[in-house]
Amino acid sequence: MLFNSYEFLIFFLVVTTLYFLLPHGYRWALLLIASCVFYMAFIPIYILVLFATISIDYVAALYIAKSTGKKRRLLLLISIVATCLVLGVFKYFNFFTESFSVLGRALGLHYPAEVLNIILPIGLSFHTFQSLSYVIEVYRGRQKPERHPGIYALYVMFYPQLVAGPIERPQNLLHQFRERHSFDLTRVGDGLKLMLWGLFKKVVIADRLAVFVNEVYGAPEQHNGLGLTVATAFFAIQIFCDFSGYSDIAIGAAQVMGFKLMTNFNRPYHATSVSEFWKRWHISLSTWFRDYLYVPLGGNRVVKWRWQFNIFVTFLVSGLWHGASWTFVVWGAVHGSYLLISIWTRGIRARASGVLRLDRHRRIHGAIGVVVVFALACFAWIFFRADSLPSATYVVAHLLSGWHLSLGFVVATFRDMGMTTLDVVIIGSSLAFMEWVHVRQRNKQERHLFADARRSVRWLVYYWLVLAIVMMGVFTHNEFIYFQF
Amino acid sequence: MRRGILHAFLFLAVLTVILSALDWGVTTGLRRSDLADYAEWNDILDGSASSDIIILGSSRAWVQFSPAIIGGRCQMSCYNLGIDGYTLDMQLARYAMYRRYNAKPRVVVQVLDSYSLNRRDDLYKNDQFLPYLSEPAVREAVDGYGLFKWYDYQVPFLRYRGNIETALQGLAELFGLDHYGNSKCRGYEGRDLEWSDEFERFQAQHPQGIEQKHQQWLVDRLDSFLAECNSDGIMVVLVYPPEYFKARDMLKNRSEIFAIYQSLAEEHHVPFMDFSYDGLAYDTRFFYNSQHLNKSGAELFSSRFADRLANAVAR
Repeated sequence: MLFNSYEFLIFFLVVTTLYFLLPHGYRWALLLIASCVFYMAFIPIYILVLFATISIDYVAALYIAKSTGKKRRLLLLISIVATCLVLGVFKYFNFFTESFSVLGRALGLHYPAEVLNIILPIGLSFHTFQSLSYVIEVYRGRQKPERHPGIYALYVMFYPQLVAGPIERPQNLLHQFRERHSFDLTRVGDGLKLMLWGLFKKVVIADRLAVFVNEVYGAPEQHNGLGLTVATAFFAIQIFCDFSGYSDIAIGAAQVMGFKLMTNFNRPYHATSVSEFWKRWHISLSTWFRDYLYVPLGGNRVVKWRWQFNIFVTFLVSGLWHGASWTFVVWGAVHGSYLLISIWTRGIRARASGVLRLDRHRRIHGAIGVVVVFALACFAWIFFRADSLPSATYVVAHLLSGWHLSLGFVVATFRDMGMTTLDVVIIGSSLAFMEWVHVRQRNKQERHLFADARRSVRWLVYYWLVLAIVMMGVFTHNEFIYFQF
Repeated sequence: MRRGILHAFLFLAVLTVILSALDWGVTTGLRRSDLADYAEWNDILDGSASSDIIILGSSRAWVQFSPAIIGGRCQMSCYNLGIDGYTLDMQLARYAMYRRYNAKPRVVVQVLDSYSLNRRDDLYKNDQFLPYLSEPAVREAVDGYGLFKWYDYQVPFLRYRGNIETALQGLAELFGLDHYGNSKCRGYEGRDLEWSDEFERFQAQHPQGIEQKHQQWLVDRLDSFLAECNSDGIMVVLVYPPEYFKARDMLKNRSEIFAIYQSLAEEHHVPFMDFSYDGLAYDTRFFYNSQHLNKSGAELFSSRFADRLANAVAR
């Protein structure tokens, strides 16, 4: 059941209405049943996998809380290994056996690749990380174990964020299931607006851009450098609108019922440095890696080389988390390298900005930063989007080939990508509208979209969003990109 | 909560009004339009397709049977209801809609090919149906494809979702900002195209030849259609137009499909005119691909067919 489907619209309306009609004591059960139904709409049998990880971590956390010393540590280890084992079997088994097989052949050894023919359970990486954060927080003593198995199951399975986050922390979410949420018109309205905004980003922008990105990345050798560059920039926008659109719908759907999920995106392409980009992009995952990998590795409280090693390893693992493929590992490595290079060149860049007097023109400095970060992010997205490493290498090698400075060449390139004048108008106007909203909301939270605007403006915007979705949306049931992770 | 419900009601009420207005505007505009595909549906709906001779079929009817030549030779009015990309089910659904709004024809020419008895899975060029979904015959025909859901019929304008180009064309037509025409004449369009290497590539991909499936329910549908026409006193002529001879020879179960057509023709006492061995079939100058004659081929063929039809009608 995709968020951009009519089935979800009906599901959401029914569940939300029942939620407000039911007495507080029964609401957790309703949400748990609804979450099961939502998850089982994909591959029903995989609910057993989810129940297995829930049971392991539920029991482990209870015992961890009671234990001390080595036993406590051992229980944590068992819980982490068991939870990760599920992820490993379903997501990484084929990747590692195939990689070992290739390595073995390179070393002249015979190592046949055993391949499991199984489909990855939807959102496995997300709810695995959410489960892990719970046991780790209980181990650290920052979270009491949840004794109610239904409430704990709901923490892992809460349907708005079950399949693609935001990856919540127990301190933020668990207690909310016990709180009474009354019907608050402003909150409900804000939640619905956010859902509408997310849907606009998904079906009007992301899914339309996807058509041209798929065309180019499906056969990169048939397109010139400009086509490859435009498709890469389009993918940067597509993945932002796709994933942040999903997050907005998730946060909005939860907000309607009174739950506050964490912010996952904060205008990442307005970042002026790579480190700032990672504070704005997929915040729930970045902070997860910071709290449960980077910091335990020593963070920046170690010698300089070790600190840089920690950064690089964190990004490598983050890449691998996204997908069991070397393209994702390289994507992580590229971002890790960006951060290391930015550390190594900090002095040079400061001197250069002094010489160019950029420090006196902060807006120009900021604008240059935004352009550079966007270009760097785009370069890294090539590895994320390409079907294989050779395909990514081809795109990188041909980005600058076959360019001509003429309008006819640009028009011909866009035509080769399958774009019509109407597509250009729709994409251009939608992006301009999105940027206008981003600039307007820059000092406010997106979850209170247009809260301070006049009523007439607000309603005009709502009607515009609905009509834009109906008229300009792409309705081919495109899955959200992050569902595959 | 009461205020919330009131707000939601108000928002949805205004939205319904906007969507209904858009729905009416786009539908009315498209129903006035002469855009290819819509023009024929519009002719059917306003009764201006009424003719003595009606030609039914797929694109092999649409691009190969000239009503001007056929009607002129037979001295009767003629309209080509050929619908691109569709097999017998949609062709007959179109005929059902024709019968609802137009005069009874004297002759129906049913154009057959090797694909006629094998329905495609997708609803090809589905935007052509959007303004007419309220028509029972259209709804019945498209329902089997499963593309349109209940909300496409119940929620105003929703069926146009994602079809912004179509919607804009409808609105432009409504407000007189543009008038879209097409190059068809009474449903026929001679295509001035030359033979390409498309067939050679297809042949290379299928060196063993191809097999064409047929579905029994479509055979039954053709059977009952012939029976209905007989009881209505409408003369039916089954025609198999020329196809490029190498493509003809590639079809492994050709005799099986022809046996079906032959036996139905005999059973219902209707003529079955097979042009697949006509002289045109051996010359690529008359085709633009293996299944379709180009304009010069179509006009030559239309004359030959018109002669035989005139004789059959006279008898």
